[in-house]
Amino acid sequence: MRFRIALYCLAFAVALTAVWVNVALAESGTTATGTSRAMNPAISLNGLFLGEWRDRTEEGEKNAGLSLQEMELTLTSIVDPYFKAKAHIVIGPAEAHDHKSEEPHGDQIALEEIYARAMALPAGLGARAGRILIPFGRTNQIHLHQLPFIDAQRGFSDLVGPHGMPDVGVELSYSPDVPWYLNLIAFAGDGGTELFAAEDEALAFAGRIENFWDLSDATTFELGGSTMTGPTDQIQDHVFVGGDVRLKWRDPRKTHGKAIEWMTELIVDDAPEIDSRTGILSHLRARVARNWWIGAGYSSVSESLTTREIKAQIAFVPSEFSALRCDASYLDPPGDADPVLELQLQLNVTIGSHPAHLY
Amino acid sequence: MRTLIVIALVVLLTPVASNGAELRVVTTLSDLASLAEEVGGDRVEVTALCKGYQDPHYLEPKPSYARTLRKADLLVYVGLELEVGWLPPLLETAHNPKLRPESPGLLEAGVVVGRLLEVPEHEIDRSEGDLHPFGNPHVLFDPRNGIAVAEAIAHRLAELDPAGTEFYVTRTTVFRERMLRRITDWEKRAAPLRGRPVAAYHKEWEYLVDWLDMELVGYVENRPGIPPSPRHVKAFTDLLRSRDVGFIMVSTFAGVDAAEKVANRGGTRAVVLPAGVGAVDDTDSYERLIDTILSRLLEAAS
Repeated sequence: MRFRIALYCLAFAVALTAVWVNVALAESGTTATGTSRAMNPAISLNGLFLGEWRDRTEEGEKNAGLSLQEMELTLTSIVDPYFKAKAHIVIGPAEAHDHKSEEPHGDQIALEEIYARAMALPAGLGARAGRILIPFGRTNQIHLHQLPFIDAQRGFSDLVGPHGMPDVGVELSYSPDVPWYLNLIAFAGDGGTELFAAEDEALAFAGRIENFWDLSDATTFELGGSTMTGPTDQIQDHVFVGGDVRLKWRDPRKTHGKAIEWMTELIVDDAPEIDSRTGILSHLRARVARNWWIGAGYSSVSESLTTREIKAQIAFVPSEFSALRCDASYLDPPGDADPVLELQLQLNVTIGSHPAHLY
Repeated sequence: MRTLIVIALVVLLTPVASNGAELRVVTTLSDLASLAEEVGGDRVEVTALCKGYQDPHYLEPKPSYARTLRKADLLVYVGLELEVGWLPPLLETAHNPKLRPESPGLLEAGVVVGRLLEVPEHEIDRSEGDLHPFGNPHVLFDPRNGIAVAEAIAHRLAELDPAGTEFYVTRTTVFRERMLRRITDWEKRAAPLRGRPVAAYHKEWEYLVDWLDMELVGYVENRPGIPPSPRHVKAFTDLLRSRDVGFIMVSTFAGVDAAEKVANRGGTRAVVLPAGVGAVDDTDSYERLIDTILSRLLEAAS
């Protein structure tokens, strides 16, 4: 607790100092000092504050609590005429970043993503290099505050991790000129992730194909397929395969009109040497009034036995920069274990210049 | 099998042919597309991302737009942070080196107008709603700005397609002269509106009000993009009555029902205005858009 408070105080002090220094510098010549805020990156901070209650817990765990789920600092800037760079630095409870961590719970700083994106490649080619979320499936490529529910659904988190899994590597993409939007992505990474264990020289690889169709001004349909492989602590070439489908409808003639989104993702942990697992996650969300969204989700993980999870959500979204979400989750564990009911309330706030999200 | 692979590669790698135009122009707004067509004629193939009936603040960055941008020689956007919520991710995923920052393939139209309104003179924050920190971006509701933007587009087209310079200059001259005549006519028609107290639902009609010399007394949304509080609505309806406000201007996509309710309570009427080319019938060009807006205002004021 003391460490956590010290960490926040330090972050606050650094931010204040930066503001003070920037203001001071703005009023003075910078040629002689060599420092200027003119080229500073766009900065934003996203905070996720969480209240939780569950009807039963493991021994020694609290059944209710308040916490900082995550704080994400995002820096974005043009590097030069050839590259744009982005960094997502997150602070939060250790288990949020490393679900295998055996360290005592506390806050830690993690570099979720930092990468440079090439801006000058021709012919529909794209490239990113750095620490990036592995292009596997849909859920793995979005940050915690963008997830449809407060936590990732079990069909994802049990197989891949609590949220998007990054790796240091290179990503190449190619969008050929076909009558629909088609994007082909290939990734090669170090394999030093939470899932993959880079104890030897083996690398991790991923590939993804994304298809997107405008069915009308209001309706879009997406179909994606992914695979990734790398060495895990269980087997040398652990293969994951995924497929995802999404349908979105939004009244295009109203600023905050009705909207519906349905997404389903399938992840297969294909490891016959041990036990293959299949994760399914699906959700349906709808904007029912200008500032109100409701949603429901189903998720399951199947191995020899099946874990099922059902989620329901109501969200008040007063602006693009804040949201109050309430999730109710019903977890039906495998075997004879008792089901768990969980309620979560999350405040999501963003300050500063946060880059617009992808579709 | 080999034949199938060859066919697939040909399909994937062959660019879809243009319709013979020299330049592919993509615009964020349909108004900008209309201006680009006016000055570019058949030397350009123009596509607008945001339809006239859509709110340009909140367009969703669909990948299909990135596909459109990938083939663009020129992107014309308003700027002043109007499209900040969706254009940057599209440009990132378009992978078009012609649209890199500071390249001639990017034209920010909002900054070429003579006078920007509502450039904040104090430090702003989001407690004031969705304010634009570099000034009001809805510049095209003043047709004099439309001429300036058309000239800037023509200048950029000539830079990218020097062989067409004379063509673009000629078309721009014709457009400017036609618009100047129309502006003179419109200003005569708009005489009944001059000095008239009016209101708006959202902060977007300031350039129109400025051009027609109306008096804008207030907004239903006292903070742009934020639903008004009951207290504000009460004070605002009192204001509508006390000032004998002629009408409340509201765009087709934002708050029509709310504007009509408030107008009823305040003893006035709401006038629904097309906020972009193609938003309603009879707005298939920038010139006809301005004409339709003016006709609706005059009808509401009569």
